[in-house]
Amino acid sequence: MRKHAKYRSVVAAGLAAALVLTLAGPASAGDTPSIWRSILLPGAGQAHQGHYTKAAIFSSAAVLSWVGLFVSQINYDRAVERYDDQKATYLGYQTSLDAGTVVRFEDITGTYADMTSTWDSAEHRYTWRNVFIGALTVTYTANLIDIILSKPETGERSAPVSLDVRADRVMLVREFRF
Amino acid sequence: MIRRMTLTSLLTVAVAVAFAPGCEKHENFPQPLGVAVPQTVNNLSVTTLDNIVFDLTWDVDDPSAVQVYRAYYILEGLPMPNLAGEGPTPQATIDFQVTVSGVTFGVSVVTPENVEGAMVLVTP
Repeated sequence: MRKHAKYRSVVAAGLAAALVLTLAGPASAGDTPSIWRSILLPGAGQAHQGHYTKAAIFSSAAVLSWVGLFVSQINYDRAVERYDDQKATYLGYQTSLDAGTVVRFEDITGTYADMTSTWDSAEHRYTWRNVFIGALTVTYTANLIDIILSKPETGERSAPVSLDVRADRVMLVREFRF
Repeated sequence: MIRRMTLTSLLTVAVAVAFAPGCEKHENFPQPLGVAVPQTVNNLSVTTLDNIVFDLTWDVDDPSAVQVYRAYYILEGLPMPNLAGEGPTPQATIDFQVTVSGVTFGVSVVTPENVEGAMVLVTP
């Protein structure tokens, strides 16, 4: 666990440095409020820029991912707790046997089976937890890339349907905006 | 533009790395205890003359794998077995002091590793 905490500190410091560099400088000054909004909630920056469809997609994906992560993490913690209980009981049998206490073989095998079952349950929940972590990672990454690279909606509108007259043909053009 | 792309790439990697490892995982699944499977007794029989004193006898395939034998009795209507006694020889005498009926007897083997095997039951 200590190794993970040190690793995360380095990553957090790198993330903070990248954010400071991103937000500093005249090139990003006009987008800074949007970027901060998107950092806090995916889609908020896009909504600030007027890209409401993208805002809805990013914010929905983020909310679903966070809820899924929260629920899956709780389930995983419970499964690990049950596994740890069974493991403690199982390892306790060896201590009892070494101390001269008689232990039933049926209890040893039964606890081993329960421990295996709770392990499998924890494995399953661990996988789902990681799925939601991945979804959250993808959402945040795509959101940040989008908000850094996109420009605010200027409000200019061209006609949604127009005629494009060429020398050899006339085209009916339908414009879509996202 | 190049600066923006560079910073975007840095952020992408940082976010992915921050989220990707997740929390620590459940681990250290223990090895099986490695105890030998206790044997069960054979030819368990019980005799009584007065329904007060009961004599149990039995045998096992490998007496060297036995530390003690445990003898139990289960009274009618009560689900839990009661330990009547234990000893190193394949026989037991249980004296209830009063007449009993509907009693079931059981004998199990305790190995030198202190593991108790399955109980074999017999009814008079």
